[in-house]
Amino acid sequence: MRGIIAGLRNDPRARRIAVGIALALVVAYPFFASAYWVDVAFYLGLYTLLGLSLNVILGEVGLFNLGHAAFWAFGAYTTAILNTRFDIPILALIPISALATAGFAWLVTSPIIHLRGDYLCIVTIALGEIVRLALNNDPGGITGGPNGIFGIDRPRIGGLVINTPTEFYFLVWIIVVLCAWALLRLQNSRIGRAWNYIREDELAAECMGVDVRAFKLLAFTLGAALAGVAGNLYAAKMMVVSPESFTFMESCLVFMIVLLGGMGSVPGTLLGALVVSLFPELFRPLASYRMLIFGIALVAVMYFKPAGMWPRRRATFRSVIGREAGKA
Amino acid sequence: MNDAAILEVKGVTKRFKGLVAVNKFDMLIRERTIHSLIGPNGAGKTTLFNVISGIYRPEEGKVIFLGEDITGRKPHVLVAKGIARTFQNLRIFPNLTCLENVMSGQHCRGRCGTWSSIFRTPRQRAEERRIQEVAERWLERTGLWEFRNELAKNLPFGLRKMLELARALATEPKLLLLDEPTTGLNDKEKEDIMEFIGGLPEMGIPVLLVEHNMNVVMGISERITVMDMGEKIAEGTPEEIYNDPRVIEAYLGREEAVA
Repeated sequence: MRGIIAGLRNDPRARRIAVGIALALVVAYPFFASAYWVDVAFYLGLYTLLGLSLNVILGEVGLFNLGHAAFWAFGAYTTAILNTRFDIPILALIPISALATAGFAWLVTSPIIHLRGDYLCIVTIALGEIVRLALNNDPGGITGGPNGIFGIDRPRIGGLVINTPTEFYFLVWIIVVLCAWALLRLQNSRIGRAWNYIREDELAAECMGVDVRAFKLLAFTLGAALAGVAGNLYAAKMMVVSPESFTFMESCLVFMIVLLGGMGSVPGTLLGALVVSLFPELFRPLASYRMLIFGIALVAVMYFKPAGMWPRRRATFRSVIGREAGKA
Repeated sequence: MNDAAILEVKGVTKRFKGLVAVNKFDMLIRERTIHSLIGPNGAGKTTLFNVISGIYRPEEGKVIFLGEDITGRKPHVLVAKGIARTFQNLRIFPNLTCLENVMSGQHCRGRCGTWSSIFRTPRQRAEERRIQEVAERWLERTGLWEFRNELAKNLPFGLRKMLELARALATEPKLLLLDEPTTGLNDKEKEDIMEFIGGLPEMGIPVLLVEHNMNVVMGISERITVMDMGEKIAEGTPEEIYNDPRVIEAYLGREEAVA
């Protein structure tokens, strides 16, 4: 097993084949699994997307955001309100929800972006609760209070209505794969590196020319945009949104996905989402001990593998100044 | 000595609550020189250093860099203008590779944003290549080439110091600020790093060196400013400083100076 993993790491061709096989499995899965398990895989996709979105904020930049459900809720409610009131199609609302949530995130995180570590964490917890309570209180009669909003439409592409678990499965996983691809590319770029510099040492990053404030805000808005997309998919799937879906517990679960999987690791986030969303399926009798067991798992991972179950491995670059330089 | 002024510190005062850490300080750094700022521990050297590099905003006075008033500008703005620095207590990015560490220096010279990075536009690829090329050249010059893909935290201390220096140089600075670059190094490492620093003015990079150990700077500095209790007590060539009674007093105390 170790040999295979090492092989995958060192050989880009082997890695490409592995990714190809994984993608083929994702495509083939709904044709072999029962409708129930396809549905489970939809939620796995949804949590992976949420995990990826928080990973930008928490994993790449190290900003402790325990209020991520606020962005998820904002996306879901944006979709629900615009769809039920103005009949805007669900799929057209994907970019709109993303933009609206990004704007919201920019607005609410701008004043708190300079806070560090635990302080930011506390404020984001408050942010999550404020959003949930606001939705609950039905401001201006637009969020429907505790009952939420009903009658959200199904996504439609031309004449095709996305309705069955399999169709939803493909919708969410296409988006997950696209996001993962984009985020992997960002990781190995000026943007991704700047985020990592901030996570490693904020003052040093600032003194190396990184506009720390701007890049933290970028991470928050981008992460929130992806959470907004997840909110859109969730609203379309459930056809109803209500405040009780966006509790502090949800923020914690997503937080845990990133920590368990590995901060800043895209495949780690997938693995973390797998653990968090499959556990209640596989161990139904233990359902009421879920939080206890997750807590223990978190402590165990932090103790034995502090970088997560599938930590990010730093890329090695092919030299651009040539090999002979090494002899100098 | 006729070279143009790079950096001018004019009457800078920095207070912390009641404590005056730097008091009406003046200093002038010229092109192609190594200028050292020395003084006993707690003299205010690092505070002044932090004022110049934009971490602290002074209560009074001005910092002029290449004719432009840069007082109170943020560090990342100053880096883009050409002031790079290292830290007294070493602040590398531990979990990134050496190459990535040094590439951070080129961040401020890049322009590409989120979309061009996702879609790898030709301009973005050219920029990435240039960032990497500059970083690799500095790794090579500092003798860290073979460690380029190692995580920075795995390097021995002496090499980590060198890495921090390479990272600062990769910003293509017009002035390099070094805060006690020899702290914690053994004699051999000290010699190596000082020899390297000594070669920088020839590459067109003037250096402001902060040290508390006078012996380290005597050999390579063209000019030395001595600081004590937040004030400038002497300035001149190494010989002048070496024989200045006020300096001896500041370092050894009055009794010893008399004896």
